[in-house]
Amino acid sequence: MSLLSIENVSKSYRTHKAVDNVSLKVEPQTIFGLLGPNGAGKTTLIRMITNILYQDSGNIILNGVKDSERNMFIGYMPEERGLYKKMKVGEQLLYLAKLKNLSHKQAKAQIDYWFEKFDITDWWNKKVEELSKGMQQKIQFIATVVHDPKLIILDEPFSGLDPINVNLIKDQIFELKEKGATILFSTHRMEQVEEICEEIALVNQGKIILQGDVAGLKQRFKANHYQVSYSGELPSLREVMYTVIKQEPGELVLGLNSGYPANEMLLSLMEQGVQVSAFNEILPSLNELFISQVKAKNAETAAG
Amino acid sequence: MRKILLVFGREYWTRVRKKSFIIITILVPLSFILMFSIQFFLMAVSLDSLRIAVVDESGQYANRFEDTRSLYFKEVKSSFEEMKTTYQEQNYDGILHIPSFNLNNPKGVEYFSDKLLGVQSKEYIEDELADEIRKERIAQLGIDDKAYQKARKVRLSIKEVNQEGEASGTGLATGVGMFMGMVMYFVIFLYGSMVMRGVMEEKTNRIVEVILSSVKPFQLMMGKILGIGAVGLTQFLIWIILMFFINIIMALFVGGSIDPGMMGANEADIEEIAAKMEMFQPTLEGLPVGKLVFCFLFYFFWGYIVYAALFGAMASAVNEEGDLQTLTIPVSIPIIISIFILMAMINSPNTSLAFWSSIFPLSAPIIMPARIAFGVPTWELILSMTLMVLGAFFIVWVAARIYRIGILMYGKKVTLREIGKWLFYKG
Repeated sequence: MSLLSIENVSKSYRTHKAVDNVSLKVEPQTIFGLLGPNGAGKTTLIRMITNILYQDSGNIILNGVKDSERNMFIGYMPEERGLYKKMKVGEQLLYLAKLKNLSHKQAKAQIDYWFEKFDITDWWNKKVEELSKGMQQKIQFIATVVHDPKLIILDEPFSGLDPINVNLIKDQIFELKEKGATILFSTHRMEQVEEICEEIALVNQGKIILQGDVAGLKQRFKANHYQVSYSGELPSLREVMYTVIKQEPGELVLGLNSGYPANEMLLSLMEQGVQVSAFNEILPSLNELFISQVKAKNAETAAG
Repeated sequence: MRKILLVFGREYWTRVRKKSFIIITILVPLSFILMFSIQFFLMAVSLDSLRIAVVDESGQYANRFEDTRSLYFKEVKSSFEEMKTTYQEQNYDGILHIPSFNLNNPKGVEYFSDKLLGVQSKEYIEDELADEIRKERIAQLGIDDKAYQKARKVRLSIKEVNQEGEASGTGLATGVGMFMGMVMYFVIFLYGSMVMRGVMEEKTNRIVEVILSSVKPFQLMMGKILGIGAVGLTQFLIWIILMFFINIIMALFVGGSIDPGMMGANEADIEEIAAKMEMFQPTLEGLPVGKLVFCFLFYFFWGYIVYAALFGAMASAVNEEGDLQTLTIPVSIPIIISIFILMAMINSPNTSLAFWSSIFPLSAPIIMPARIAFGVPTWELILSMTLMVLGAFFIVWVAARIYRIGILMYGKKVTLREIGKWLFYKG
C-alpha cells in the first residue's frame, strides 16, 4: 500500500489554478522528488499535504489517515526556514516536538539523540539568534525529524547550505530512509536530486507531466545516443547502423538507428579499425528530460 | 485543546521570563514609590520654619497668632519702617505688617520679606486673621460666637436611592466609572499590541509555516491570545500585591512622622472631617462592589479577547512594520470613540447613547463597567453580557478567517478591502 496517495487534487487561487487535478502515489521507504520550475505549484501541493491549505477537491491520504491528524506523521521543512530567534534551542525543539504529540520524555530523548549525533550537546541553552546560519539549519533539520515522522517533506532543502552541510543532510536522509522513513523532496534544482531520488514527478503549471522511477524514465526517453572515445586516427565510417551526431578529436557521438543492437555497432566500429577506449550510452539528465517534456506539452497546447 | 495549551504555555512562559517583563512589572510600583517619596520630600522641604516679626498697629491681633511647626510669630514694638532695615539682623525671615483698619473693609495687611511666604503659610495667616476679624464683627453685632457657630453648621446631601433600596453616590460613581473605563482602555492597548507583535514576529520569522504543519491557525491564534492574556493577569496581580504592601509601608512611614498638630487640625476640624466621613459612608456601602468586581473581570476578559483577536488578525496581514499602522487604525477607532462616549457619559449617564454603547460589543467593555457604578437595570446588564459573549465568538471567528489567510500571505501589501474578501474564502 502506498504511504501517501493524492487523488485528483485541485486548488485554485482567484486568478489561476495552482494545482490542477493532480494524482500521485508515494511508496513507503522511497525518496521521491517533486520537481518543477518556480511557480509550478509544488509548494501549494505540499501545503495541502501538510494541511496548511485545503484542497478545493480531491483526497489526500497518508498512512490511511485522511483528516488533519495525518500531520502527526509528517515532518516538514519549508523553503523559507524559520525559528523563534529569542528562544533557546532546547526549549524550542521541545515545544515543536510536543506540538507533534510527543510526550516531554519522548521529546527530550529524541533531542538528546540528535544533539549527540550532530555533536552539539552544549547547544541546549543557546539562543537561536546566537547561532550561525549553518548551525540554524541543523536545528531546523532536527526540528523536522525530531518526532520520527513517516513522511519527511523537504522543500528546497539545500538552498543556502554550504557543501559540507549539504552532505551532512544527504547522509541523514539516506540513514532515515534506511530506518523506514519516506522522503519527499521538492526542488527546482534538478541536478541536485538526480542522484538521490528514486522516484520523481515533474510538475509544470499545476499539472504532473511525467512520473516514474528515475532509471526507467531515462531509459524511456533516451535518444539512443552513444559516446565513443578512441585513440589514433579515425578511418572513414560506414554509416549504416548509426549516424554521426558529433565528431571531435578523440570522441564521437553516434546515434544508433532503430533495429540494431548496440553490440553490433561497437563490433562494426572495431572492425573498421577504430581504437575504442570507452563506450557508453548517453542518458538524458532530468533537466534535459524536463525541458523536452515541457516543450512538448507547450507545443501540444499550442497546437490544440 | 492540548495544542492550544501548548501554544498558551509557550506564549506565557517566554514572556514572563523576559527581562523586560520583570523590569516593567517591578518598575511600575517603584515609580509609584518614587512619586510618593518626592511628594513627601517636597512636603518636608516646605516645612522649613519661618520666623515672622509682627508689627501690629491695630494692637489687637499680634498675640492671636498661634505658632505652628513651620511658623513662629513674635510681636515687635518697633515701627514697620524701622524693621524693614533691621529684621534680618534680628534673625527674622519677614515682617507681617497689620495696619489699623476698618473692620468692615480690612485692607493694607502686608508681608515684607526677600523670600516668598508660600501658599500654605499665606493661607494660614489669612485664615487666622479673617477668623479674628469675623469674631470681632460678631461681637459688635451682639451675637454669641458659639451660637453663631452652631447656627452656621448645616449639612445637607441628596441621597440617591433606587428600587432595590441601594444608595449610590454620583461623585464616587463618576470616579470609579472613569477609572474602570481607563483601565480597560489601557489593558486593551497594552496587551492587544503585545498580541500584534507576537503575530508579526512569527510571520516575519517564517516559523509560522512550521507551526501550522502541527496546529490549526485557530489553535495558534487562540493559544497566543489566551497566553498573553494570562501574562497581563499575572502582571496585574503582581502590581496589586506590590501596591498593597507599598501602601502599608507608606502608611507606617508617613503616618508615624506626621502628628495631627502639624497638620493644623484643631478639634473643630476633626469634627468636620468626621461629619464628612459619615456622609461618605452610605455611598461606599451603596456602591455595588461585588457586582462591580464581577462585571469588571467579565468585561476585562471578553473585551480583551475581542480586541486581541482583531489586532492579531490585522497583524497577520502585515508584511512590513510600516504597513501596520494603516491596518490597526480601524481597530483602534472604536476604542477611542468609546473613551469619548465614556467622558460624555460621566455627566449624563442615562442617555440613549450610553445605553446603546454599553450594549454594542466593541464599546461595551469600556462603557458598561463605568455605567454599573451608576446603577444599571438588570435586564440591560444581561442583554449587554449576552451580546458581549456572542459578539466575541463572532469576532474571533472573523479574526480566525482573516488570520488563516493573512499569516501565509507574503510579499504584497494588503488593503482592508482584500482582508474583507478573505472572509468569504472557502476552506
